[in-house]
Amino acid sequence: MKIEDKVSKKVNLDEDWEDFIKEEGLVDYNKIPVERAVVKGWVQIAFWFLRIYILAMIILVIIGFSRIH
Amino acid sequence: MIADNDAGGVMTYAQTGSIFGIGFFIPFMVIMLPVAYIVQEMTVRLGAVTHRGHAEMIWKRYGKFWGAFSLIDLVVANVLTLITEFIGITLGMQVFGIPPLVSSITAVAVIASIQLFLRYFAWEWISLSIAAFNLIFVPLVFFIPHLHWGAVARSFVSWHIPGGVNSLFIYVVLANLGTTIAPWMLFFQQSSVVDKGLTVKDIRDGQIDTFIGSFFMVVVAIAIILIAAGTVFGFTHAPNLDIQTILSAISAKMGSLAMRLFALGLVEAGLIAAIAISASTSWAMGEAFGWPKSINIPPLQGWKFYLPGIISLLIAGGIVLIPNAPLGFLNLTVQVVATIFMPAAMMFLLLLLNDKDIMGEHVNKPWQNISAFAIVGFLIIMNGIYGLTVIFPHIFG
Repeated sequence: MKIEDKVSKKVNLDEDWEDFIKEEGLVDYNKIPVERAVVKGWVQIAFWFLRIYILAMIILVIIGFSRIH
Repeated sequence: MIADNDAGGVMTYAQTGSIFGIGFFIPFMVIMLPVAYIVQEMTVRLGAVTHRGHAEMIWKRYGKFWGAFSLIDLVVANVLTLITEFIGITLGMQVFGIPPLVSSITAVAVIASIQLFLRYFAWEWISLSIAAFNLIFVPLVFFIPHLHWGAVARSFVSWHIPGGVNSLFIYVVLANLGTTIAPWMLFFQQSSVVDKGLTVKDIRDGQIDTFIGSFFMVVVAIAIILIAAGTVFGFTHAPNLDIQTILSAISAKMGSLAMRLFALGLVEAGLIAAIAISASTSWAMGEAFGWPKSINIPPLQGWKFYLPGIISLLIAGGIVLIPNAPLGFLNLTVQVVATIFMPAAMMFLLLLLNDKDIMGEHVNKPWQNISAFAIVGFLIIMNGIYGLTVIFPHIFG
């Protein structure tokens, strides 16, 4: 364990990762920006279900906590 | 995966064994192995392919609202869960005569130091060494007085439930399910895969690693259930027994050494989980806000990254020391927050794993989707039932 190494030395992790990826011959996904997903079809249904589920659970929780003395 | 057997988990398994003995929950825990593996394997694959953490993926792929929702829920749930870990650490250390103030401060100092002053691989090795102590429960099984291995074997056939299906049974099922799949585990595993630098070439090794961890997690869980079943089951007021009473029963029936080893296991469970949970808080905050986020970063260069995890440790370590703090109520709140959050966390995980734009050829296969959706469906139904039993305690008798 190189404790002094970690405490005192500045690191550039992005550079280290780029070098590593080049050596491995892999695609650097960090260079590909993550774009906002198009929410449609079953994904949209899933999100609506999630909203309803969370709302229902919050209401139940509020009712429950209000009954705790 | 071993951190899955956190202090809350140890207490849950002990209470499971004390209430239900050798029966339903032995084969139930075996089923938890594929459940844990299927869920956690997805986070390994997602992290290895995208080289991005869970919080970052949700934020960038599904927008600020869901990103903030996931982050706030995670951080709140993590702080509350950390409190239960510190409860385990301080309770366990009290068995050895160490006052809570000393054990709490020491734990905070140890965990923070490990994160601040070690690079990832050293941090991981220290964590694994601590996690190895989780196996301490396994040899204790062979000292349980009058343990009928025939009864253990028969439980796989009978799935016997003493007292039948009632609200207590449902609560314990959910508690065991909740301790097997916890939101912080999704975030932690994916972030650690990224920080470790795993790539698509390492997916196979990551899957094997996850399976081994899941296997030992279940073995230890069953061992704890058996220990409690062999020492406490049948006591009057078993559902209301706390961990201190269970420890006393273990001491009376298995001896003082067994009780001390059990307490040591409880301390370890709290410690390893606190290491993982505080790290997951730091990683998630860094991912959400675009800060440099790695345990390899020096403390001063990455102070923004380290600070959230350390603050969460300080909060948890401090709260357990407050006299008459409503720790039972806080533990309940942990369960409730996890109830709301876990299905959402699983839903995002499944959406991301089925997203060809980001996963390419590594999207979920049909069998993975079927099993994962079955787990989510069961989770949502059981969490819904749990929510009802919290609000209406006598709904199932």
